[in-house]
Amino acid sequence: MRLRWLYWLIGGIILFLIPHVISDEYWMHMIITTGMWMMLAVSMDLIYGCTGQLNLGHAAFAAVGAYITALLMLRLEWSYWLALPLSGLGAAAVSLLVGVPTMRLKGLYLGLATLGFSEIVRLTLLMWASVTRGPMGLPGIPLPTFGSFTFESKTSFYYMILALLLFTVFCVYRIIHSRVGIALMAIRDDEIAARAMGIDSSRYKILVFVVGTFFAGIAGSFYAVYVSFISPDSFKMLDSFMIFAMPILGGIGTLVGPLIGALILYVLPEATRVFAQYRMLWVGILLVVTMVTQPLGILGGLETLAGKFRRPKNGVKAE
Amino acid sequence: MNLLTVEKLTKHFGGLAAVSDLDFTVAEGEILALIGPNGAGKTTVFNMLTGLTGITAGKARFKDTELNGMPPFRIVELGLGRTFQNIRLFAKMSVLNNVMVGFHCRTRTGLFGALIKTPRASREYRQAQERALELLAMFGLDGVKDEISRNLPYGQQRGVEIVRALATDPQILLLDEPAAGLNIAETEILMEHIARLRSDLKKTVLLIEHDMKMVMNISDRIVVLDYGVKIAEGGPDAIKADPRVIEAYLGTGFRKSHA
Repeated sequence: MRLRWLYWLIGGIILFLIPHVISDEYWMHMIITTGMWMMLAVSMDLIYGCTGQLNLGHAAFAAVGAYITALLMLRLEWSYWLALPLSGLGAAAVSLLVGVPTMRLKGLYLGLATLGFSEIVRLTLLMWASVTRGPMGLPGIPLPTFGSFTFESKTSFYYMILALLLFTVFCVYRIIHSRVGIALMAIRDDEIAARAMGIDSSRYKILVFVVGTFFAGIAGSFYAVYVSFISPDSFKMLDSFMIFAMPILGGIGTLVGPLIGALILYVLPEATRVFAQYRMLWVGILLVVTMVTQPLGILGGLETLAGKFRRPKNGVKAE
Repeated sequence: MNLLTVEKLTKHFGGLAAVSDLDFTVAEGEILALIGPNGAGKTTVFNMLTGLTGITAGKARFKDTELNGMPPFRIVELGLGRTFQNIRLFAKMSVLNNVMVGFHCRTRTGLFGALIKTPRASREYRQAQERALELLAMFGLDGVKDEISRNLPYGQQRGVEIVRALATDPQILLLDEPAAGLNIAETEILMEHIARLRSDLKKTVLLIEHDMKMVMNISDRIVVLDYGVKIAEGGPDAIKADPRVIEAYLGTGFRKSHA
C-alpha cells in the first residue's frame, strides 16, 4: 500500500480536471446533480446501511434544507455561507423532532412513519403559501458569492458540490471507522445483543438519524442555490425511494457502494431520456435484476468476484 | 463477598409465573450453575439480571447497586457480562469488530471525537483493538479475526461470544448454555476455557447448562429450578443425590451412570 498516495493524487487530479475537460454544459449539469445525489445516498447509507434504520423520507429532509436556504436568502438576504450550515442544522433539528417519538419503531413501521413525515413536509410546503408561495415555489434564489467572486458557472458549482461531497464522505468514513460506527453496525445486526453489550441503542439511533439528515439538509441547500428555483415538487416521495435504492443497489455499508448506486440510478434515467415515459422501466428492471442476482449490491458482487479470482492463486501457492 | 444477590425475584408473563420468589447469591470467584428442565425460567433469570426483561417483583443487586429498572447498557457498565443461549453475534461484522463492540462500555469516544479523530480517540481505538486481539488469542481465535462471524463454525461462534462478553470487562460472567450444540471435543475445550476464566482472569461465573458432566465438573454450587421455583441448592454431590432434583430433572438413571 505504498502506492496509496499515488492513487489519491491521480484521483484528485482527475476530479480537479473534470470541468476543464468536459465543456458540454449539459454533461456538467449531470455531473453536478449526480454529486448531490451521491451526498444524499451516502448520508442515507449511514442511516440505513450502517444502522439499519429504514428511512423513507430522506428527500423530505433535503426539501427542508432547500427551503431554509431559499427563505433565509430571499426573505432575510442572508449570506449563503450562513444559510448552508443552518439548512443542515435545521434538517437535523426536524429529524430530532421526528426521531425521538419514532425511534421505538423498527423496520417497516419506521419506514411508514418517515414516509408519513415526508408527506407532512410536502403538504406543509404546499399549503403554507404565505411563507413558501405554495405550488408556485420560490424562484430567483440568489447566487452564492465569496468576496467578489460569484458562483455562477458550472465549473464553480462543480467544485462546490465536490467539496460538499468529499466532506460528507470524509465524515461518514470517520464515523464508520470509529467506536461509534462499530456501535451502529452492532445495532443493525442485533439491537438486543447490542444493548446487552453496553450500547445505548436509542441514543445512537437518534444520533445517526440527526447526522444523516444534516447532510441531506446540506444537499438540499446546495440544490436551492444551484437551480435557483425550488417548489414542493423539487424533492418528491419518488426521490426518497430512489435515495433509498441507491445504497442497496451499490452495496450497503460500503461507502463506495452508495456512490456507485447514485451514479447509476441518477444517470440511467437521464441517459435513457429518448425512451421518454419508459425510462423508469429501465430503473425498475435494473433494480430487480441486481437484487435477484447480487443481493449484496454491485460492490458486494464485485468483491465476491474478486475473491473467486484470488482464492485459486493462494491455493496454487499452498501446493 | 457476594457479587450478586437475588431476593424473592419474580417474573410474570401475563398470568404465567416464569420465576417465583427466587433467592440465591453468587460469591466472588465462584462458579455457580443454574440448572433445571426446559422452561424452568433459567434464561428469564438471566434476562432480568441483565435488564432485558423487567422484574415483576423482588430484588436483584450487584454488590450494593440495585439492578431493578436499570437499562441493559448500564448493567454492563457495572460489570455483568453475558452470552446468549441462541448465539447472538453481530452476524455481518468481522470477529474482531464483534469483540470491539464489547469494549464500547469501557471507552468514551463520541461523535466529535470520531469526526475529528482526536489523539485520544485514536489511542482508545488502537488499545481496544490490541486488547481484543489478546483476548481472541487467549481463546485460540486470533486466526479468524477478519472472518465475518456468521461464516464461522458453531463452536467458534460460541467462543467469540464469550470473548465479546469478556471485552466488556465483567466481574461476573453470565453464560447461557455455552455447551449447547457443541461436540464432545469442543465441550472439553470450553470447560478448560471456563476454568481459566476464573483461574487466570479472576472472573466469577454464573452458568446455565444442560451438560451435566460439565456442570458437575466445574461448578462450586448448583441452584436447581423447576417451574420457576428453586427446588434445591448445594454442591454437585449433594445435588446429584437430591431426590427432588432426580425426579424433576436428572432422572433416576443419572445416579447409576454418574455414581
